[in-house]
Amino acid sequence: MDGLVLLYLSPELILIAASLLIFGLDLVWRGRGSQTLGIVALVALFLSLIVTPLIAFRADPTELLSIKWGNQIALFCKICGPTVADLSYWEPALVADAIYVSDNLTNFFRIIASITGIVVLFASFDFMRGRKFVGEFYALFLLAIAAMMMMAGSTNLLMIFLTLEFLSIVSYILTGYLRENKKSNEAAIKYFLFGAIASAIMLYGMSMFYGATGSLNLAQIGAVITADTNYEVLALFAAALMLAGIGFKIALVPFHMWAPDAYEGAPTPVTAFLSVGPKVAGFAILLRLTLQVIYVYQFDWVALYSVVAVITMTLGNVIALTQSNVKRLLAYSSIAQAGYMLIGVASISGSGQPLDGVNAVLIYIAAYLFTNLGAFLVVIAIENKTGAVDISQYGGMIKRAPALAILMTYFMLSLAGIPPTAGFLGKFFVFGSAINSGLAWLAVIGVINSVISLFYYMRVIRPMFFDPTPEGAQPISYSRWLQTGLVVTAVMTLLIMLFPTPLFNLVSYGTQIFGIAMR
Amino acid sequence: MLSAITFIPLLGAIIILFLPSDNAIKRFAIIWSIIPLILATIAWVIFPTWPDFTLMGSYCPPDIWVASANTYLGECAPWIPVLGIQYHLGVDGISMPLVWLTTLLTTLGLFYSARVINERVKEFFALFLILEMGMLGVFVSLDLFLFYIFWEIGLVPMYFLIGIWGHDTDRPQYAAIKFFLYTLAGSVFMLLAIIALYLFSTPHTFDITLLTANRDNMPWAKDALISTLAFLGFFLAFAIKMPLFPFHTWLPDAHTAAPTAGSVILAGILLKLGGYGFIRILLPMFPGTFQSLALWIGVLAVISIVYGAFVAMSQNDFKRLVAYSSVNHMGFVILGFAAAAALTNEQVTSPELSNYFNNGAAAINGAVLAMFSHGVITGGLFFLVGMLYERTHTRELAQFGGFMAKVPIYGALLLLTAFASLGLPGLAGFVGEFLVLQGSYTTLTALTFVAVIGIVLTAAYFLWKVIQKVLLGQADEKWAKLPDLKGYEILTLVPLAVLMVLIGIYPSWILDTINQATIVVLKAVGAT
Repeated sequence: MDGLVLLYLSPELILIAASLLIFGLDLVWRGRGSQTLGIVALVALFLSLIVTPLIAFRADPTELLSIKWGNQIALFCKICGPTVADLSYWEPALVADAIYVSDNLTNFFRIIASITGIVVLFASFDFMRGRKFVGEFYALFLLAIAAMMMMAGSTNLLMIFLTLEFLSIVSYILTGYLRENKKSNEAAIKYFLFGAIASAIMLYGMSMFYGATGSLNLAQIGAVITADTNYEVLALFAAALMLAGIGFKIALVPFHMWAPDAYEGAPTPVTAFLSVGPKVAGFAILLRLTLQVIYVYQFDWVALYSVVAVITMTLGNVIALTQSNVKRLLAYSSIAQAGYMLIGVASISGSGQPLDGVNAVLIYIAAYLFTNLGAFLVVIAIENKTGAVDISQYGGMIKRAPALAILMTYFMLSLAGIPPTAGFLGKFFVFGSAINSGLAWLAVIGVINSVISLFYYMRVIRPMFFDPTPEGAQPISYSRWLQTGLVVTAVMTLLIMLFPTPLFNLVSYGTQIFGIAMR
Repeated sequence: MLSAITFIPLLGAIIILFLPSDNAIKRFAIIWSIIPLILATIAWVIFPTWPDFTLMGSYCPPDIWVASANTYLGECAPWIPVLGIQYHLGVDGISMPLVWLTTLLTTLGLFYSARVINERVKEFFALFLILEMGMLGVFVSLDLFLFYIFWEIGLVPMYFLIGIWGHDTDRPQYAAIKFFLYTLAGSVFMLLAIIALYLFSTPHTFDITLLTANRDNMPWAKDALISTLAFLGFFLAFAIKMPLFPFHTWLPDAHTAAPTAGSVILAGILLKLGGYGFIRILLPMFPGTFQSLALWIGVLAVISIVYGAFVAMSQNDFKRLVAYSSVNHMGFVILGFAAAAALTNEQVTSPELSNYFNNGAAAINGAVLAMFSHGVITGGLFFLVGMLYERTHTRELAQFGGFMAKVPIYGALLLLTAFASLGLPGLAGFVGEFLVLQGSYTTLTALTFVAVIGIVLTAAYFLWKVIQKVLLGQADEKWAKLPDLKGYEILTLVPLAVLMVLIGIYPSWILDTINQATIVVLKAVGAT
């Protein structure tokens, strides 16, 4: 019976097993068959994506063995169907002292993580062709995705620290993957040093929580500090320290300094992953910390998050204005995007309305995932053929690769929040939730920032359409894998805007657990 | 019907992407753009009498269906049920003429561009049709969420139209991004206002008809702070779009840099989106706030009139002059709305409401008609400027002169359009502005006097700068072989010229349509 519980971890276990398999195969094949290794990784990611909904809607592990897959799939279809799903009877049971849970939020992030992995893999095949250490790359990449999922499921301080370090260390290695490239090495070292400091600060905050409450479990810590308001100062201080570690993963100002260098130096598929993966997983932990531990001291954390959100958005957007390297520009853009997401966290009100911050964050994450990965796919497609990563080298792209230029325009508009794009829907929910919880001033700063951001997003587009084609420039071709990835991201960016109800169902399924936590 | 009118251009844009040759694209785009024009014409003829599409109506929640009783050709479908967002379209006497004008100017613009645009043809015609969809969508949407989406959709194609096909000497890229940023800066505040209306309404709704009909029971209307802030959010977006002084600085750059057809659409339709917002949203939804601010908005409107006229007078660039004349003319439109907003209750509910010379009705009827005729006239003026530029490759007024004798057909059409624009009785420009002044006389008397001075200034710069500098005097020798208008150019201008005369001498055909909707708006205003 107890062994059956492991079935709940099957998405993570599939990925870890596949990762070990790739290590092994690589050892046997000695660097040959790089495409096959990638396909193994892709299959593993698809499997974990399919398994997640199957384990998602069950309260008891024994049910997993009973042959009712039909019901399971019907349930999943209902949630991802075009009509508003009634979620009232899927309240999960909370385990009192769990260190790791497979609840609705974890499942939501499992889906997000698998999709991230799949899309980034589509981008990696071209990039990895003819390189060394291919097996290590794919194996570590799968571990990174598994680490993302595990971060989302951690409900214990120790587990949070371990999974966060797990993701960090894998990310450092992936960032420094190009061994002969100085920039890649520099990026990895910088990333590592900043990460070490951030972890230390976070650990300090955790130790304060533990010292005060005698527990490592989020729910128990929450119960103790909720019961006695004398804990207010301590809780705020410890949470702020923990925010250092989480903010490092999310790239919140002032813990963002690693991001531009790491984004620029890392292999571009890894950059694409870094811009989504750690950020998303960081928000999962931030949501649990906010809603399960310090929720009662709402005034404090709203103030803390609002201030950080304003600084993050504004700084990210203003510095992005001056960038000429596309990867650096997207790095600052992703810092600013994290600021918008943090508005969503700051405007959680527990009202249970559709326009609540907790829904807004997850919708924004889903929209950002497809949009940002799509933008990176375009960058990768151009870089693979021409090596160009500077905006000035994008001249005349509409002639050389019309599809890439049009798609890039679409993704940039989505990042700026111009309809009809997923990014608009995300911003709509985030600003709506801010007004809904009385933070209209935050929404005003947010929209002013969107206007600023439009300027640099259009700077990427401008040479593509307005500048002449450089002498001797060839049309740009790209592989089937990249094409698939581009089609998936572009179609999803459009569909999320046109038919948001399935996403909304999934999001309200994911946030349902907080209905209990928020009381 | 309305969905077809709105989305047929989009379909056309998609088909264009797959057409092989430039000629095929041009021919296809022109013919395709006639379809919405025909549909819009049919819609205008049938719309007030045609029974509702009950099939469509059955998808509408009953409260919305009741509230939209005064809109026609309604269409409804649930879109985002968790937020209560409906795909809700409908027209009334105010939006119908503007829809028709949009389809007309698009067809004329494409027809003219087919001869002029020879670079990157596929992109031009596809973007133009997407632009048309965005504008039509704004006029037919009755849901604020949908309204906002269409509002923003129009920005992107216009950005590219200005940036790619603009004249190199006019810094088109600068003008394009300035246009984009200015308009977006306004519209994001509108977005916040839209969200605020949704959150502070019971039940939560984005529906324009519902928000108007149940206004007095809505929490946002009872809370002075929220309704003032929401009003300002909408006002900023519309004032930038109109553009109202001091938010007008994007306009001369964008108009001057844009290609001819782009300027025509920009002046003819895009500016009207702002005016349409005033009449569809600000006036019926926020009558109280609008009334308390009417004087100040009226002052800004009069400044626009006088300032626009003076700046236009000082221009040496023909196209810039026409651009500033838009600031001048749009001032009258806003003055009309401000005058209607300033009406007191007993003035609104006076018995002769059905008479469109009645004060409040006159102001609104005049403002809407002024929007329509400004679209026709200024559209024509931009075509004329473009045609002259094609021949002379300059727009400097100092180089022109004596063209009345050189190119008589061009001269005659320019004379007619300029007279219509300066408000000569018997032509289109006069009727709208006269009604506005008549309506504003009772409520904003002092401002009306200043505005009348503006009319004199308008006449002055048109007579002096346009008619005298271009048409009269002695022609320079270098223009000895200046060719007169060709067939396709005349064909582009004739529909507009006919409309100018028709509205001028017999305005009832359009005023009757507008007045039906004006009465509804006035009743909504008076319901406070």
